[in-house]
Amino acid sequence: MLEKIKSTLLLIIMTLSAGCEKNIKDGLVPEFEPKLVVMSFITPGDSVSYVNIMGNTPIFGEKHWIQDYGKITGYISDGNREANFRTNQFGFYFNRNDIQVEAGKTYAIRVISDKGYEAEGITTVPDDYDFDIKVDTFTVTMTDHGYTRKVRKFNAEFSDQPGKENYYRIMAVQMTYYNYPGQGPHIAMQKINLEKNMFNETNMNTEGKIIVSSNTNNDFYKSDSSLLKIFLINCDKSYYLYHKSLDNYSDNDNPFTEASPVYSNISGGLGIFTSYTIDSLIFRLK
Amino acid sequence: MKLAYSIAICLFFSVTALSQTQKHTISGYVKEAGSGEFLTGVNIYLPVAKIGTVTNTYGFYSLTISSADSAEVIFSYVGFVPVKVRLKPDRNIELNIDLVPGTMLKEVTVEANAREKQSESVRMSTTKLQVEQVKNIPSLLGEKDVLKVLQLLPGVQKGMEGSSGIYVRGGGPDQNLIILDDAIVYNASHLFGFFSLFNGDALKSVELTKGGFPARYGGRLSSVLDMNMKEGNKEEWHGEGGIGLISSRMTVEGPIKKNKSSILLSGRRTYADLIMRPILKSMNSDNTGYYFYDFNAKVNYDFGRKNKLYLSGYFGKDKFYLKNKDSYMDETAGFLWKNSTGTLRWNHLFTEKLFSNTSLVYSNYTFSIFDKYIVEAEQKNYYASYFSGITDLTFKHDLDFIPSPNHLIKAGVISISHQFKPYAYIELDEYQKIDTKNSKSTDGLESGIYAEDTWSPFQSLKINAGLRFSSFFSENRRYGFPEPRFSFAWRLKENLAIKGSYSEMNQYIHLISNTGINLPTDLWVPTTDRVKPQHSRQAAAGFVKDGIGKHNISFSFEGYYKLMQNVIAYKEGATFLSLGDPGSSTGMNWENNITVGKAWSYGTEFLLEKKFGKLTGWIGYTLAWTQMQFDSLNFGRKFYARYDRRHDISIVGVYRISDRITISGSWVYGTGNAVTLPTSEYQALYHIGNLYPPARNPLNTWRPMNVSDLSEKNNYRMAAYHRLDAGIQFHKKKRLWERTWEFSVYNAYNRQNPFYLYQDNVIRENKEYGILKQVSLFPVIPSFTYSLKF
Repeated sequence: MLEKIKSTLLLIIMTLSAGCEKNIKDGLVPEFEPKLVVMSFITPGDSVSYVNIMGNTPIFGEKHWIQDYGKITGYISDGNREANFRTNQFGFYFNRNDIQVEAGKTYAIRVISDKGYEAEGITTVPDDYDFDIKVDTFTVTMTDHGYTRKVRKFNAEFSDQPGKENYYRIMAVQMTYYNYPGQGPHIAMQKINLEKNMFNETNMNTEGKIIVSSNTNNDFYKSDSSLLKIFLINCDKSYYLYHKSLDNYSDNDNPFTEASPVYSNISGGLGIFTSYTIDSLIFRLK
Repeated sequence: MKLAYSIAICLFFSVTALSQTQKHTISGYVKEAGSGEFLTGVNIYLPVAKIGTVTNTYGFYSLTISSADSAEVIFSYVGFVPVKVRLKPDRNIELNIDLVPGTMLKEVTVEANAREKQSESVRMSTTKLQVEQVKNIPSLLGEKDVLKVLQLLPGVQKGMEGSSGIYVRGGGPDQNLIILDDAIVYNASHLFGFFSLFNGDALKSVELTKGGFPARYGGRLSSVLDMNMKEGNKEEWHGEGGIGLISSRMTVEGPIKKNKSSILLSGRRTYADLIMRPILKSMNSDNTGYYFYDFNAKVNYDFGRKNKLYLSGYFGKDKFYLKNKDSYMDETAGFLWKNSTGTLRWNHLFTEKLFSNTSLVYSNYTFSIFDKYIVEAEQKNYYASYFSGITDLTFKHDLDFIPSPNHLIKAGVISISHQFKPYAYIELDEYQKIDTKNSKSTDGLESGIYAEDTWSPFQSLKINAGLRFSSFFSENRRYGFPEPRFSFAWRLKENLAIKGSYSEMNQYIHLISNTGINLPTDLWVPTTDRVKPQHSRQAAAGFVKDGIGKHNISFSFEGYYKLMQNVIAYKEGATFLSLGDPGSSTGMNWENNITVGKAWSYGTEFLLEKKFGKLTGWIGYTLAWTQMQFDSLNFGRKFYARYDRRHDISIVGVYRISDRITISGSWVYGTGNAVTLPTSEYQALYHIGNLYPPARNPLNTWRPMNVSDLSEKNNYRMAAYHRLDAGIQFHKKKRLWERTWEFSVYNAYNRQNPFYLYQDNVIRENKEYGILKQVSLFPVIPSFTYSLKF
């Protein structure tokens, strides 16, 4: 009898813990709105600037991986003149003969499809500025799970451009040259993963400098020579927000995080039209 | 402290100087007959002079009248038989009254009840819950829950389905100051938020303040839930208990020394784990378990009219565990969280007009995750534990000074020494020779000093004006802010009053929470030099109409606007799990993972309430908006809060058919929660640039990522929430005890309310479809409870 009571109680408890699931009716799911997706990153140094144009696809209902957005055309404007996009095997582009991308100038793009979809974006190219990048290396001894090893680290620092709202991204690559006996020279290119790579003026220290630290790839000790190349991207705010949002992107699959959307500055569509300038430094590690 | 006394003394002399002629004071305590329990909020009224007062939290009252005033005094309290006393006020009189419990449902028509009206009170946005009323309202699995009854009031929203968390006027769950016998309770829930910590059998009074905060309250932005435990019957031993589907409870109380000292002990425990263990064992899956228990105790000693001493405590624990044993290892892992509080209170009566309460309070909340195992072959142990928590030591001193019926002055100081432990990590691995003890704790000193006066310049106007100065010393910075408080009630005519209030609040401790569901992983963190205190300004206005119809129905309407600044939230993508490696030297850096913003909440609340008669209950409606804005969320754009609820309706009714049968029901409706859902998907490009030797192919300068277009944060509304609960109670008086059988149904019409939504893909006829699925938590759930009282 007691066992029977216990079984009944167990059943009740199991019923409680079981969730009920149902499909939301089609009319109640978020409505799909077809939009053009425009992606372009322009910088004064590029002779050719590409504009990637696609479309979004519905999430709910029947999946159509390729939406028909019709014939697409577009142009870029610097306020004085316009240049229509050209096409090649990689997609839409314009070159510096059509429009020269210059620091400090504002550019707009507009994309139109013959099915009535339109998208446009605007960006102001940041200043070309000498950020006085400096690199310093040092060696630390690390103990990890009882093992001791030496790690060569580097600090890269640069001066914040004063009096402006600035946004930066830093990237680093280590180029290591090996000359294996019997195999000839070999160049290994390795991207350095920085703990943090997006900055704004809130990250600067009291001397107006932003400092980034990271480990180098230790393998260069066995190499013939090794170079560290630092790229400092001085970017438009939209570039910063867009890449930060991609870094943080979560589509609600993780119950412990809130969903975080991807930034877009394309009105009428999705994507990003943004710009940057680059300052760089090559540092010889070996 | 000095300032509080100075203010009190100044007010004392200024006010008493004006009122020295032929005045005498009636003062004393009002108790419940048969138990000696002091009663809070009893009305004391002189009908001819039309003056009155109420007892304070400790049952004390003081009323100064002129010799010419009427000598008839009426003591009345909901649920008790009113008492009329005739006396000759030719000297100061000590008058202690015992009120006899009567049926609260009986229509009481004596004049005394004229005082039990919202239109007579200067307070607004305040609700006093009758604990007996809580016991009559049907609940999930028959577990009576104060917080879930509060969720049925206008302006108070629940969080997720079944949760006992409360969201008051757009504020978060950390913005509620939950006090049990002066002790702050930090995580007020059991079973992942499904049940509150508070055992109704041990509670004496429950009062929720949503706005118009008097100066005596501070430290949170959105509400104050002030609860007091029963003191224990001073005359004879009594007990009550109940057996429910998932837990049982028992309370005993009685005199240690008759009419001088008493004790109350109350406990509750789930037994799902005990019942399931043998069954799961037979199924070879007895490797998981969960239980909670809580325990309340209170002891007091009455040294006489002038001094009373109380010692009370609470301890509660939840534990969820997993066990895994095989020939290789024996492992136990899980998590637990526990609350404990202890309060020592001393009531002292300086004079018949000056009452004081001094409290020393300890409060602790700890959450931990643990994993321990032993490798059988090696006989080597592994143990890892992560825990976080907060420990408070509080000193509090409050004065009540009642110089005349026109003034009730309160002043006091409070100082709380917080010790925050955002994380501590211990790892001992005999196999890999790891011995890590990494812990971070932060101290903070929170203080407040206040003075307030409830003043009636003339009979139809009451004003409560006060000032609180709060401060917080963090490790590197000191904060201090004045907090003005003001409220008034202007009686336009009998039973009709307009009311208004303005209050500023500061909050020096914060809860960082991931998803708004009450997980114990939410971290309590202090204000620091980088994280500023939360601040709110709230204004409210409305009117109250009492005595509508022959059933003495009350109707209130309030509109409010609240602005909250320096509200914190996790940055996008940050979680409790991504705060860092607790085992690393830098540990978990919560300050880098939060963003600061502001929130607005505004709306209107309507409440139609019937407190007397066979049928009691209320109808509440809230129309509200809550928006938030953070620099690092939603790209700095405003968005609707998850618990923004445009419409919220609650209908609650309790009908006493006879002395033996009570039926009850409640129906709730609320606009669905705002959640973030994708509207489409597309390929985003992550710019890499020409890192390597110049890329002629643009495909090498970016990396594609498939992403969903989430457009805006909280861009989608879940389906509306509605639910009907019903219950019937059968009471029977036996020779030695009274028993109650209760049968109740939660979600009577089996509404599938949304708990969360997720997106899924299915293949039908060789075509792929995206579908949106809704998960609901509780279907129709019948339950029964057996309760007894002796």
